[in-house]
Amino acid sequence: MKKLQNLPLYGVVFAILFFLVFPIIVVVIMSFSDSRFLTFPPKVFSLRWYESYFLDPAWMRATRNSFVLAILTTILVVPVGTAAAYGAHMCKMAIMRHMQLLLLSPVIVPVIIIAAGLYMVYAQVGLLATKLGLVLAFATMNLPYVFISVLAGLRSYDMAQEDVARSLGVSRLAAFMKVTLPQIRPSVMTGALFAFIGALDETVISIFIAGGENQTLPSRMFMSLNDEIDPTIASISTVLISVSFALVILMSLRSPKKANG
Amino acid sequence: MPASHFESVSVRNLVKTYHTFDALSDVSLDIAAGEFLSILGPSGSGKTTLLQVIGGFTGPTSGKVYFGDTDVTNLPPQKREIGVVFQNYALFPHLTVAENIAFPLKARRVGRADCEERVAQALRTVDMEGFGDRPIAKLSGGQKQRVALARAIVFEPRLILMDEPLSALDKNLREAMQLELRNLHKNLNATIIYVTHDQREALTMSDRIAVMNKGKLVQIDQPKALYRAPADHFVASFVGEATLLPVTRLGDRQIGLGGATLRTPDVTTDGKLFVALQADTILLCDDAEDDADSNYLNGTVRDLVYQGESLKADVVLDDGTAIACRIASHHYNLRSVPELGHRIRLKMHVEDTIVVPG
Repeated sequence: MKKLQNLPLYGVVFAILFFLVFPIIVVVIMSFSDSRFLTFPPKVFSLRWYESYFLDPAWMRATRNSFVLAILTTILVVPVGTAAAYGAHMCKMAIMRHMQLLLLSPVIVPVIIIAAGLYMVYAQVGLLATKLGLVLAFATMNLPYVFISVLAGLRSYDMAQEDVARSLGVSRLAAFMKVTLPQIRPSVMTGALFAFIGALDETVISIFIAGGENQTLPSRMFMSLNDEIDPTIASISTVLISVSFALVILMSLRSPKKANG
Repeated sequence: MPASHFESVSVRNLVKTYHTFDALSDVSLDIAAGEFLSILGPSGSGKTTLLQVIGGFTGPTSGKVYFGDTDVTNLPPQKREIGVVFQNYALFPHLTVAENIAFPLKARRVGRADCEERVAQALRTVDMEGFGDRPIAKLSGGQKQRVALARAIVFEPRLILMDEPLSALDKNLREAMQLELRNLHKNLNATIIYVTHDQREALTMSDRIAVMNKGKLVQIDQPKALYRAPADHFVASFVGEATLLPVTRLGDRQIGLGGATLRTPDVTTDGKLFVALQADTILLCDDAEDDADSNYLNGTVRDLVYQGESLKADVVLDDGTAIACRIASHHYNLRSVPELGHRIRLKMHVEDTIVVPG
C-alpha cells in the first residue's frame, strides 16, 4: 500500500533527475562520435575529438591556464574565506549582517555586471588578461562558497573548545589550527572544492578579462563555438565533467570515515 | 609534600559593561590558595561573566585580577596557567583521551617520556587508567567529565575554573561526582572557582560560597553561615528553597506571623522584614508542648502531597497565611500524620526562625 502511494513521488523524482542528467549524458555520448558535426545519436563511435583536443597546443595551453588559475584561486580563497567566516561568526556587532550580504554579493549580482565592471577597472589598472587579475576576479566570485560553507561548519561547532585550548596554553591562532580547523575541515574542503570547480569553469568573467597568453578553457570554448561547432567541445566538456565528478566523489568517500573517527 | 602550584586569587572592583547592561558591577573577591569557592547565582546574575574575566576570555571594563601577587588583568588565557572545565566538557573530539590530556603538555613542549608519565598520572588521579587510547565519542558523560578534569590538572595550573561542570549528568552520577570533586580538591590542595546555579551542589562542595545577583556580589560566606544567616531576601530564597513571608516587627527579637508571636535569634532591623521558612525545619507537635527554645504556630491542614521520602503538608495559619511543612514518610511517623481539614500545631526552633530584610 505504502509503496503504491509513493509511486507518483518516485515518478517526479526520477523525472527531475532525468532532466538534470540527460543533457550531460547527451554531451558525453556525442563526444565519442565520429561525425564532423554535433549529432545525436552518433552513427559511428571514435576517439578522434579527444585526439583533436589533447593534441592541439592551443587547447592544452588554455586547459593548463584554467587549472593553474583554479588552483591559485583556491589557495587564495580558502584562507581568506575561512578567516571571513570566522570573523563573521565571532563578531556580535549588528553591522555584521550587512557585511555578510556584501561578501555574498558576487553570487547575487548578475555575473555580466561584475564582468563588465571588472573589465573597465582592469583596463584602467592594466590587469586585463593577466594571471593576477584573473585570480583576483575568480577569488571574488568564489569567496561566497567558502564563506557560506565554513560559516555553516562553525555554527555547529562548540567555540568553548577554542577557549579551553587557549587556557591550556596555546595562542588563539594555534588553538584555531589545532582544535577548530581539524573539526571544521569537511566544511573547508567542501568550500574549497566548490571554489575550485567554480574557478575552473568561470566563463562570463573569462570572456571579458581573459585572453592572449592567459586564455582560459571556458573562454576558448566559447570562442570556438562562435567559429565552428565541432565535437571537440563535447570531448572537452566530458573531460571537465569527469574531473568535477571525480573530485566530488573523492570528497564524499573521505567524509564518512572522518565522521566515525 | 611539595609546595602547591596553586595560588590565591584576588578580584578588585571588577566592572563589565555590555552597551548599557552591567554584567558585573564593582565585584571584589578574595580566594585563598587551596580554597574551594563556589559562585552561586541564577542565570544572568553575572557569575559566568566573572569566571570569563578571571579566565581571561573577556576583559573587564575596569578593575583588576590578581593571581597571588601578580596582576594578570591583561594576560591572555594562554599565559594564565589555569585549568578550565566547562559544562559541555569541551573535549577535543578529533583527539584520543591521552592526546586530549597531553594537549597542554605539548603546548609547553614537555618531553615525550615525561609527557606520557604525566598523562598516566593524571588518568590515575581521575580513576581512568587504561582509557588513554579511547576516542572521546566512546566515553560516557561521567568519563568525559573525568577526562576534562585530568586535562585541567595535568599541567599543574595555578587555579582551576569550573563552569557548571556537572549539570549535564544525571542526578546520581552528579552527586557521586560532587563527592569525588571534593576529594580531588582536598588531595590536590587546589584553588577551585566553581560556578553553579544549584545551591545544594554549592553547599555540598564549597569552603565558601559567593552569591551573585544582577551583577553584584550579594554575600560571601561559609555554607552553614549562608544557610543560617542569609544577608537578604534574595539569598534566603535562592540558597534554602525557603518560603519567604512578610512579617511585622513586634519587638527587638519578636515578629508576628499568622496571629502568633515568634522569637528570633538576632535583633531585627526596622523596615520591611521577611521570615524564611524552610519546609523541613517546621515540625508537628502536641498541643500541650511548650518549650523555651521553640516558636509555635497553629493552623489547618489544607493539602497533603506524598512525595516519596516525605509528605508535604500545606497548612493555612489562623490569619490565612499559607505555609508548607515536610513530614518524613517513614512508619514511625504514620500515626501522627494529620488529616485534611484538621487543626494542627507546628513548632520551629528559635534559631531556625531566620528573618531577613526585604
